[in-house]
Amino acid sequence: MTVGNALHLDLSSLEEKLNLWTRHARVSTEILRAVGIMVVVTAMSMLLDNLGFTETSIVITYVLGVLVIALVTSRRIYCLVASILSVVAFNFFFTTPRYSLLVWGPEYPGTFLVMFVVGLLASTLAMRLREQAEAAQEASRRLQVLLSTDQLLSDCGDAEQIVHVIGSQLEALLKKDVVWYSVEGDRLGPSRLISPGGGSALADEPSIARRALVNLSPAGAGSSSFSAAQGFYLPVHTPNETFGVVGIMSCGEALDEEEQATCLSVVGEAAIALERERAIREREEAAVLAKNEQLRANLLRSISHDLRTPLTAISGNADILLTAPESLSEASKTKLIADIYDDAQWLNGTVENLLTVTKLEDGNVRLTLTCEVVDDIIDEALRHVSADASRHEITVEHNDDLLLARMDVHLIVQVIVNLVNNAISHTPAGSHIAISDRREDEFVSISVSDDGPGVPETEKDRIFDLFYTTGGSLSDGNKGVGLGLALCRAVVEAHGGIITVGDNAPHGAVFRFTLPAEEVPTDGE
Amino acid sequence: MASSTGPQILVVEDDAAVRNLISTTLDSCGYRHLTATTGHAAIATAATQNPSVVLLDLGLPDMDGVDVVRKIRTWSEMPIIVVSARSEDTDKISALDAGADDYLTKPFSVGELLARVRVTLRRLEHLSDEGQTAASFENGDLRIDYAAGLAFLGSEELHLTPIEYKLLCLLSRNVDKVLTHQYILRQVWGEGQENDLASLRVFMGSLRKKIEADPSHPRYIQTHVGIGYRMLRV
Repeated sequence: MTVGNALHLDLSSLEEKLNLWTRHARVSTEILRAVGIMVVVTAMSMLLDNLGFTETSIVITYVLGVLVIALVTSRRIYCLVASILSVVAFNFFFTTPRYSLLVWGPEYPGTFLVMFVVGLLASTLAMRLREQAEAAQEASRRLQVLLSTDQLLSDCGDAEQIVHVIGSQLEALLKKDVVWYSVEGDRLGPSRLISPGGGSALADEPSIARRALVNLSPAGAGSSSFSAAQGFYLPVHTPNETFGVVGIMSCGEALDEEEQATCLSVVGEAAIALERERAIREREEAAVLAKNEQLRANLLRSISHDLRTPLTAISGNADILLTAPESLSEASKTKLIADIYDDAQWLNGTVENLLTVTKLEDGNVRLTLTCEVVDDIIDEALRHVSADASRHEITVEHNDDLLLARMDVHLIVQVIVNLVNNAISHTPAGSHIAISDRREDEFVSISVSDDGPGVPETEKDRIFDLFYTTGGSLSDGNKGVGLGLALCRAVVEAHGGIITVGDNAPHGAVFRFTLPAEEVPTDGE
Repeated sequence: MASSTGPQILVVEDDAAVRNLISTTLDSCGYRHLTATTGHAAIATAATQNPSVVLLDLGLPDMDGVDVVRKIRTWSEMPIIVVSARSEDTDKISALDAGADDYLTKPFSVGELLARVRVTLRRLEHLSDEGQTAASFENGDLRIDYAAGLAFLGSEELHLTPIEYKLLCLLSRNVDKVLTHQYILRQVWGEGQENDLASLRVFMGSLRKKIEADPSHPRYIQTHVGIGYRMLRV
């Protein structure tokens, strides 16, 4: 026998002793009460006798005493004994000859009989009344709990809250601890306490809970299967699915039929609530999916429309060069070829943005995060910036310290490319564009600033919206689809950062975004 | 390799327009070239014609480009440049780990193509001049004495930590070849350290500070974002 077992045995025998002692204590209290009342009644009767009252009053007083005993004790036996005792006491103290059990009058036996019968009947009725009143009160309390269950369930926001309502309501009803086994398919999860109480008497009986689950009927103490178990297990289910198994730790005090019926009622309500919550959740998910589909359809439509312009130019220019080259001057030919090249580069950039969009769709962002040196990323981005860059002055402020950040390399490169291209197409030739990075607490912030006309205050909110484009632009042919900045925001936010636009001094725009910094490992070799 | 006919480049590309582009570009610089349109044809041509450099597109119709690299590597160390789309790093990394030397990202410019070819041919020259087990290394102002375990920049001795030295030697023994992050981590830190990219970044940063005149514009060590690093012959 292990220490644990020995301890367990000790504890349970201690419990038994305690229970016995409480019972004895209760019994002794009630005997004391009964005797005490008898004494008081006798004393009162003596007083009445001295005051000259007739025997009738004394008889009634004794009957009253028996009634009171019925009200303050819990067993019928007390009523019976009290009735007999009252007769004996009356005989002894108040019938002639006093202080003896002899009777000298012929009517006394009749009086005694009537007194006894009346006392017994009245006290029995009183006790029954009291019991019924208590039962009614208990039933009313249970009904209150049941009614409040409905209200509480409708206030619940999610499945977890519903489960806790089950626990707290069942505890309030039965004054016992309640555990919950979650169910996934046909697998039972681990048990956990869901009633708000202390949880001192918990038992883990997964096999019994599983039986309840499989048979979809109660199992455990008080039911027809495993009646020797510590707990009473109820499956929480609707005809369509099972949500879990509730275990009520009855620990020896099995639930009676009425209590079981109440449990079933609570659990039934909860099952409906769980089913409703699941249906709502599925509907929300479907709505999100539908919205994403809609967004993607809009995106594709918009992009297809906007791709036609450069494609028309490319095919048109190539067409002229093929069919009528002799009609063109060398300068014109070079211009056409240059235009074809520019349009192709623009298409390339748009395709990269489109590919980025595919990585971000459906709300499940597929990021491949690696630790990168921020300066390296900026340099790489500049290699892919549009060909118009040669007409602008682009400078990079490199950091002295090694700035490391976690990011999906190609997505962040695309963000910087978009920001720089945006600066190029919205500022006149010769403008300065500066890119810098610095550490800000747990983040790294990267800024792209220009000294062009800047972003008007009214547009600052909408500039990152999908498909938003400004009407006019300074460089020729800004064929923006309105994808670039919206993508930047989606990518940055997917990394847990934020992107903002502000004003540069004396004029211009500053686009700034943050990324989570990576700690520089300081371990030596 | 001082040959009168010059180096021959094997172009493996299934798309006719791109093939034409590459051929024309190579012609314009006087490089001789062969073409193949499938992986199997590429392996066969490489085996029979023994080209100096292979330009291999990874999106071939009949087999995985990485397998072509592996096959060729079983008998030859001829330089292989793989060509792949921009957003896909994994296939470039696999190809480099399988033995490829460099990569080109589609769409590439003519300038990029020629630059890669030049670097690779230069590497070929040096490979044949000095064996892989040379006792010393020289590249611009950088000099490494492998036997003594010392490195110099110009006349000054470089004070490198053991890991920085190992890193430098690995890059110098593979000059002009792109080394993937995982390869470097495995070689310098050992097996099982492939996920410690942050450490590699830090040591590369400190190494650069010591050997580069302007660490923000490195001359010797080139960063290939998402792929790895390469030491260039200046």
